Amino acid sequence: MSLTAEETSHAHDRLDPKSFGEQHNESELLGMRSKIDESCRWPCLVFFATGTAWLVVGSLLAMMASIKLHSPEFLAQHAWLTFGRVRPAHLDTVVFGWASLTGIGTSLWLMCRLCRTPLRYPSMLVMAAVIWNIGTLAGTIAVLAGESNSIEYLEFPYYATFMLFIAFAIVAVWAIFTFGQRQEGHVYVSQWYLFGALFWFPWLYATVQLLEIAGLVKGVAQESVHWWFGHNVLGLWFTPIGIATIYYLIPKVIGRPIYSYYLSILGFWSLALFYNWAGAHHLIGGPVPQWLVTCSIVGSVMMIIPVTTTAINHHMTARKHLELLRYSPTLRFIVFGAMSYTIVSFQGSAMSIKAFNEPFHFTHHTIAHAHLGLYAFYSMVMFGAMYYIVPRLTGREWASSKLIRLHFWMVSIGITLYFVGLTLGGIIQGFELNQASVPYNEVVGQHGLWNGTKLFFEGFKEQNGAVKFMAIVHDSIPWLLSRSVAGTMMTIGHLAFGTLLLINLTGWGRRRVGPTLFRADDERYHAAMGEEQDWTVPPQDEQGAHI
Amino acid sequence: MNYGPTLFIGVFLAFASAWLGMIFLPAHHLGHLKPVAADTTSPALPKPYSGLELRGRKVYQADGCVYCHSQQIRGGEYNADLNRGWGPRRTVPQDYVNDDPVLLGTMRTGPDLVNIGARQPSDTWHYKHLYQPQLTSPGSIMPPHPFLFEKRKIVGQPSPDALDVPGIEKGYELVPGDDAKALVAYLKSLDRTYDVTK
Amino acid sequence: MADAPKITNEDEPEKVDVADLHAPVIREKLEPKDGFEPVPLWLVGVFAVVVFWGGYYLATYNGGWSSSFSDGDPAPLLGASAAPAGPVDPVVLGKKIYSGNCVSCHQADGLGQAGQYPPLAGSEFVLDPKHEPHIKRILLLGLQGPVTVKGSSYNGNMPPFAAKLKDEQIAAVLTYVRQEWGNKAAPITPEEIAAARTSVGPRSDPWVIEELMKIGPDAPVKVAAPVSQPAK
Repeated sequence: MSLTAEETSHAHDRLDPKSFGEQHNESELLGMRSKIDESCRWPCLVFFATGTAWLVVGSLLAMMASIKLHSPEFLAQHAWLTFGRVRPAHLDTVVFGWASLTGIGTSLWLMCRLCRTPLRYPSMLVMAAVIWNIGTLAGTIAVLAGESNSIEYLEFPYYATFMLFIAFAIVAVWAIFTFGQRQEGHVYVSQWYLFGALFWFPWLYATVQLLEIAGLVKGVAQESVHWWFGHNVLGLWFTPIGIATIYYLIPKVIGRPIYSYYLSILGFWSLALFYNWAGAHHLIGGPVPQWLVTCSIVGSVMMIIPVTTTAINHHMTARKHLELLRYSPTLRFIVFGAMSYTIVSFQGSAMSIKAFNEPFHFTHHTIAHAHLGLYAFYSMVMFGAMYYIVPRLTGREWASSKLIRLHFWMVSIGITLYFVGLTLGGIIQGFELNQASVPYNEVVGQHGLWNGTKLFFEGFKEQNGAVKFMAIVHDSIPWLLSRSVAGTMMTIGHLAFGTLLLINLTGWGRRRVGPTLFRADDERYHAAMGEEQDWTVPPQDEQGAHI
Repeated sequence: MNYGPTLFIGVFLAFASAWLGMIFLPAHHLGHLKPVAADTTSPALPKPYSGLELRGRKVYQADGCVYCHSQQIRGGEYNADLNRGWGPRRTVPQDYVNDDPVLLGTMRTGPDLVNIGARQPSDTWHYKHLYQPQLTSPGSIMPPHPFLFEKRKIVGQPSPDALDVPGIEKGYELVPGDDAKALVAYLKSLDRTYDVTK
Repeated sequence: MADAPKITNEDEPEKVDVADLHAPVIREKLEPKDGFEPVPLWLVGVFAVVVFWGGYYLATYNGGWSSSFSDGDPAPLLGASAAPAGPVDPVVLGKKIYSGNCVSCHQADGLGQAGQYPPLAGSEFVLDPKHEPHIKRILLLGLQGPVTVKGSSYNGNMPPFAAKLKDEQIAAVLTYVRQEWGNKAAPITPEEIAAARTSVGPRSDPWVIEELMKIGPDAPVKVAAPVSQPAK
């Protein structure tokens, strides 16, 4: 894990800006930062604004889907609003609309900041954003119109995916060009992850479109391709963007270096190696070869390595500065996301083990896990990123601390309720599905919540009575209701954020001076933020050496 | 880690290893299976889908049935599926050779459907269930699909397809639309209970 | 910006101050840098354990690295022989057939559904020897039209199973039904079903009950192999 002797002798030089090949001091960097932010303005804001619009659309579709599951008569008369269409429309709008657009917006800004070079060819990127949005819109309308192929994550028809592909190609070409223009010799850890994400995503998307959608491969092998894609879009597209953002914003907000470069390297390469084997854990028990499933289980469990590594790196970086969580919206959202990443990954490793998988496969537990990952980790990190980046692009601070507080509490309590409710519901559903010594029966059972909970606590023991399928449905309804409550809270939070973004972009209302914090700036805030920076003098570390 | 090409090669190789293992090898071994006949006098199974059944499969996809219903039966140590009577045996790769795309499914909000054609051969049951699930399965959370059906005035004789459901006024009848008929044909073709032998 | 940033909004005239435009940037801290703490030894230990587990799991559960071996039990697969060794208990087989074909109408408790599907538990059709030829034929070709079972009348559509189920399977499910839910009647053999098929001939239309009632008992059939005793 350690560097060579030569590299070690230069290790401390790495803290000297000159050794990075950089000729600027921090005061010059300051001017460059402003230039970078100015150049990023239009492309990043278009990605952020359209992404947030999709978040609101996706939240409304989500609420419809959630309500339909416990009240099936809700809006059931029309084909275009049937659950089987609204549910994939929700998935695709939040994955390709909200998550991808804000992810690309954040990546653009991070790339420019880390390469210390302004964003060139902004109109190219704005065009990419427009094409991506048109593709997502066309795809979503197609799904609601009944053109979906119901392959999860890949429901869009070919004309929509083609547009996404073109838009992505533009972004990838721009990224390679910008990376080539970098003014900074040292490639920071966030850039490895972003580079990886930009490279992996088109390979993933192209492979699955050709092999599964275009049908070059037939039969159950398609499902291996499908879930290789499905899991990797989370692990090798969204996760690297999220981790790259955390690696940038935690040290940035608290003003300390990342704990260990070696842990960063270990975390990156173990993620790259193990994550992409995990996909077939969606097929455990299925009509696929055992060796494939075994490799996926091993890959999923080995993820303990990169996840622990990254968690330690982040925690040791931030641990003496956690009082800033009282004040900084950015830091609070980012740390929430980082902790959720650790939890969801450990949960995922556990869920791949057959003892867990056998009861909980096919249950609501999986949905809870998916939302813990894409929402509690990734979306919260994106919120944190936007809270940091947008004022730097528009020059306007966030208008209302109250709205930020409303946003944070609604979504954090909402996702917690969501996760706890559906996980419990899924566990009960799973145990009941396993009690099956008599066949499928249509009579509504008198099982009720209490008996279902009893089963949960009694664990894996064999029960004498089997649980009829309709009783299982009946028992999951209270948990599905809790999901609707949670979803309502999250939607309110999204509307609060959307309002904040709209006010910031348009500049309505009075302008604030100073950062918009969770609570009033006071002595503790200044103590936590440290000394004022005097940019005329090169910065120094605690020993007085120039850093 | 500062050298672009090193980063690229490492990222490429890490990814290529899984691509080989999870994409290339399964496609190579399982990507070209064909239906198999048990002996020279029996038909090759699974039987190919008829045109109507394929159309029904498209309706299954368009209306997103896979988001609540799986089409796979686990076997061996995962014996809950078999104990629940969803089929006489686990499903095997050969069962899916005619499926394009394969719709194994990942959720069991509703029961598994790979043998629904064997478990529930009645057309009338399926039509009623699709129109209003509460008619056949009280307490179900499956959404009703009234848009697959047509309520029309009876002209002359009532149609033989007319369904006996509540809420239809005198002089009107409820008949399944073309999509409903195709979907039910597909559902009835879902029968993988045949033996898998040499 | 030497003063501490203020939070409150002040009623200043809207003037674009260059310094204001850069306020968020100015108060930023340094760009992120790397520290160089070593990897903790205990972490390396944890990883060694995980890698060891991974290797063990791969070696144990690889199914021979063969694609014909699906996840879970070794099930009969493409190219593999599936014939079970030894005679099959008809009641066990019958229960499987029942749960796969009959339960949705006649229910797992054999009680059917009032007004829709007749019961099998305690049904005279199942128990009375004079109905034996009738139930074999109902299984083969199905039944339509009104029928009275246990004093209640039904008017439904039972589908045929001649094409879908083999003789052994029809015999098994009848045997199962005739000893379940308190029913006590003799098992039915596959040879009897084969004979019933021959006697039915090329007919494919479902029965109506009046026609069936005209059919008398079948001739006794020589059993080729001993029927195993149904286990309770």
